[in-house]
Amino acid sequence: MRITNNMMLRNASSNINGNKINVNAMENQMSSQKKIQRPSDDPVIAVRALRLRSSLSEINQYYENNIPDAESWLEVTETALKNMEKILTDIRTQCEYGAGDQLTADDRKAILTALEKLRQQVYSEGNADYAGRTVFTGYRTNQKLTFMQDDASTKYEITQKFTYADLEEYRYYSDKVTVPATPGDLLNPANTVPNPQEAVFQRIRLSYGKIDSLDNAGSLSYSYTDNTGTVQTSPITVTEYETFEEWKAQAGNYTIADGEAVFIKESGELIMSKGLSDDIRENKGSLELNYTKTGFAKGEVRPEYYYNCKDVTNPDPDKQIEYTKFDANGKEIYQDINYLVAANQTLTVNTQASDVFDASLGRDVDALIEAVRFAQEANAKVEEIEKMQKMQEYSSDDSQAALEEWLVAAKKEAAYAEDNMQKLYNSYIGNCDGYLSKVLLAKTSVGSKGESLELTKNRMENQQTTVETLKSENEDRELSDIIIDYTAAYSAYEASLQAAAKINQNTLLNFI
Amino acid sequence: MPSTFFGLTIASSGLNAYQIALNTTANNISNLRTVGYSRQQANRVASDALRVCAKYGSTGTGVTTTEIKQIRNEYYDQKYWYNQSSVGLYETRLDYLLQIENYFLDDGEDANGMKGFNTIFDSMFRALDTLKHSAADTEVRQQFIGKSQNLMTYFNSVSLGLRQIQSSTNDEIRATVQNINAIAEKIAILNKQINIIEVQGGYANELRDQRALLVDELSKIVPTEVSEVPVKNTNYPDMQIGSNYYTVKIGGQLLVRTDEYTTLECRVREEKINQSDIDGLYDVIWSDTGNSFRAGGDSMSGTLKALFDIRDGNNAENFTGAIEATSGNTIRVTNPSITAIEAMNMPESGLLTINGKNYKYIDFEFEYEKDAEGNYSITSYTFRLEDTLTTEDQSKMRGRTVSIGSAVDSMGIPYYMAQMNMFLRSFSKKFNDVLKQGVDLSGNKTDYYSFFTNTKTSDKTEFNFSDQDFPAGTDKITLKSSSDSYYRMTAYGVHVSDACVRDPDKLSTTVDIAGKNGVDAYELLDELSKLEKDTIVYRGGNAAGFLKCIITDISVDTQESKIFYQNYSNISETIDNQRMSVSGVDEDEEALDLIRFQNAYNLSSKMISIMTELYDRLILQTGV
Repeated sequence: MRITNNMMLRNASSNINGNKINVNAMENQMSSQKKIQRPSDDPVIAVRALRLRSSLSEINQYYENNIPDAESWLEVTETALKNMEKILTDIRTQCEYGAGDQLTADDRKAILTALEKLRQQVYSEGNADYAGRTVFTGYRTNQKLTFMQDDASTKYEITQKFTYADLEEYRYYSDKVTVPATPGDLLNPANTVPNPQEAVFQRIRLSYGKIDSLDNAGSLSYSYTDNTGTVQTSPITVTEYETFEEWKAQAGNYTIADGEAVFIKESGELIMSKGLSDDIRENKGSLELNYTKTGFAKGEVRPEYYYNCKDVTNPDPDKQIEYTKFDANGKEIYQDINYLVAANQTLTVNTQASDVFDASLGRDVDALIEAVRFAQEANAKVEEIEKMQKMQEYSSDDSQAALEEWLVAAKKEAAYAEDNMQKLYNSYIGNCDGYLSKVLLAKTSVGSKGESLELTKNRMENQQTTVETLKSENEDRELSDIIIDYTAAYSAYEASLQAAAKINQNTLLNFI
Repeated sequence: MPSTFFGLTIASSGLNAYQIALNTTANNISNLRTVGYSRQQANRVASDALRVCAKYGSTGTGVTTTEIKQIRNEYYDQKYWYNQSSVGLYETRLDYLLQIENYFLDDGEDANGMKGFNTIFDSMFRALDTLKHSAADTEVRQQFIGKSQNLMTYFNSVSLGLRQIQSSTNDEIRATVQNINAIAEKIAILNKQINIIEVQGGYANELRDQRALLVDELSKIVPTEVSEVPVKNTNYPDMQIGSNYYTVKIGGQLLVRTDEYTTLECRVREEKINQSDIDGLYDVIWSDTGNSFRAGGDSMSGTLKALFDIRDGNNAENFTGAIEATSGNTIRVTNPSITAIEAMNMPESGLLTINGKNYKYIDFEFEYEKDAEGNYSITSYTFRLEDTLTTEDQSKMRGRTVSIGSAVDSMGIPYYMAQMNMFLRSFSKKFNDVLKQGVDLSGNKTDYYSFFTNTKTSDKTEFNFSDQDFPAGTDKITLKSSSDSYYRMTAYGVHVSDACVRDPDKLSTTVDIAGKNGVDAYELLDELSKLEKDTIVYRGGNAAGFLKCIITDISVDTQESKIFYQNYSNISETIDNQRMSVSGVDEDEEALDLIRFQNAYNLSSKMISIMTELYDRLILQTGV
């Protein structure tokens, strides 16, 4: 084929350009150390890179965000539970002290002071928060577990379920002694010496006192499953009274007819006749009480975390808020906050208040305080009467005789009080054990969640490394490889430049 | 016997011939580096012999130069022109596809790289994850809304970029058409001049070279066919007249006929063909007949076709259907090719093409049905025309197919815009539907706004897309092109609802704040998370796969263009080498020719000296 100089020049030029393209590509690779600069260089690598980047960003989210957040949350929960355990252990210790015999007035004073302090702390751990969000209240992280102040206007309709296990024995004392203040009062024949009475009943105690009304009093019944498997109900007749004293004032005495019960609104108790309570125990029955309460004190737990209830503070029915804790079948509804800590793996980071803080804990401590106060007061009355016996103004024989009668009554009351305190404290040791085991269970659960989180964290760390390696293998090139290729391309370019320089140096005319 | 001074004549003919030859060589040498120059050769032939009354009968009379002709192989020219249209096609396509690809780059989280769809989409869903842990925290909500806005801004900017590319291809089409017209005019002028020169005998070599260069340029723009046929006298078919008919056809249609030429013209489209087109797109028509020059047709090639492919390419996904019924000014179409609201890409008002004629429609309605399995589809469209149809028209239409725009079988800007719209509509609908079920932090229901929405141009309020919901118990609704449906959502204007941007507390995360749940409940967010990977959103895959699909489309296209451009350029170079091999000037050859002709001239002049001496002897010294 005939070759002209122009053709040679043209070919040289296009070859130089071809080499330049290679050198340029290698130079780009060297600066970026990536195999491709744009997807069209190699679509397969580009699409694979997108996929790996997605996986890596997910793993980073787990490892760097979700897992540390979950760890912090669990830590806060664990601290609160540890504190709670300490409080409950202290309460239990007081119960043990109180259950012993031969307590002195100083002992009782010490127990009272300790219990009063513990009462304040009992639910405060329930309000623990993490970055301003309460940890034990499920989704309602912007609210606390307890009422933070006395609230006189809030009104709730609450439904509380009880079983036969909630029946407990309680001793009621009436006709308490009021020590006469002056000798005149002492000798006043109208001032009769009271005869302290003890009445023992089985009762069910609501979680709140100062109830407005028992709403299903008219239709109250307990249900049980008999041995054929059918569900039976048996009605209970309820009489409502404002206070314990009013009961005697209206009924004349403290007896309950068989199959009937008495509801005391002030203390929130349903007191049952022996026959009724025996029946319920024997049949393993359960019952449900609907009641309305207006006004809550500081430190009382909010009902929406424990029971199905309705906030009826606003008279407009559209604005009343209904809270469901148990669904229609009686199953508890959990408000779990789940963190995604690995692909397809969630961890429930929160603990429900109802699993840890029993609603009756506060009332138990109140009962303990009341019992020790009763004992304290009763013994103080005995001491006062004994002191009066030695005093000048009461030295007359009439006074001494009267005082003697009063002393007998007061001693009887004191004996009752001490007996009550001992028995109550003894039985409440069992209650405290129950609460403690709940808290310990929650603590164990949190601990094991922390452990599994640790494992997941480890796994995510490894996966992060793996995916980063894969990503790098896919799109990065080893610098040493690039340098070799670059050197080769550059040498080829230089060679083509040299060759082009030799073209057209000599033509025929040089030799003519 | 010939004349005494015959030898002189012979020698002088030689002198003349070699002088001409040297002049020709000088011409070649001067034009060594002229582009498109074909080397010329002076062709000599021995002059006609003279009959003499002598024993040897006839005697040669020297040499005559019959012609100075360029050495050119038309076969290579034709092959070159045929190949150039493919070179032009792939070169321009590659250029614009690289520009489009730039908008879809994603270099990941590197600080210097470009953050593309995947990175932004991932960070939005990570923010969603973080939101689950603190659904009531206003700052975290703000973060999530910010990341969602980033995603929408990404689509806005890509959409704007693609529109700009569409605009520059449009401008380039206009410039290219003007170029074609200029070339046509120049070729016609050259033809006239060549014929004038050649009818008088000889060759207009330089003009032919210029004309060939012009055709080189034209063949890259559009497929060009050239034919040159000598003019014949029908009474004397063997007579050489000298002039030629020279026709240039582009795309099979006549552009230049010897000294007459037709021009193309750009006419602005009055109606859009695709919903996302910019205004002012050109159609190319012949100025004399007004017929369309189908520059984007399937059999076309060249730069112009590449521009149309990029500007109008819709992957043959334009709307087609069968006409079921017509009335005075409505046409009802069934069996539509587009059955999902997400895929609707026809403009709100535009042109229907039936039987090759265009009818303008001003709006349309469509019937949207839900079948037993919960799949939605559009079963029919009814277009309202601007003009009333005659009964004759109506009778011709029955049973025919109707289309909007033409099917351009390449993935150009309308295709990518429609894909973005499809993704956004599908994703937004699923997203919005989840969020509309919930309540905001104050407990108010959030179904009065849509999280991802567009703004109406008419009154600047936001769309709520409520018309697309089926009332209870129905499974068929009729929507209009002006209804509040996802058809109105486009990538250009999509954004996060103002309600949420101004007040992050209006975002809903749960169904019931006050009662059953609390402020940190996040069950709606769980459903939203599924949209990332677990729900089929787009082209049979999940939402995160959007960029992968698009990248696959465009990078395969770009790679194909790169490879073909490389191939066709190589072929073009090879053919050009062959051309140059035949017609190029070689320095060494010309130098040899110089020697050759110089020697020959010297010999001829020596001949004249010898003849002079002969005459001298004869005249002055013989018989004196």
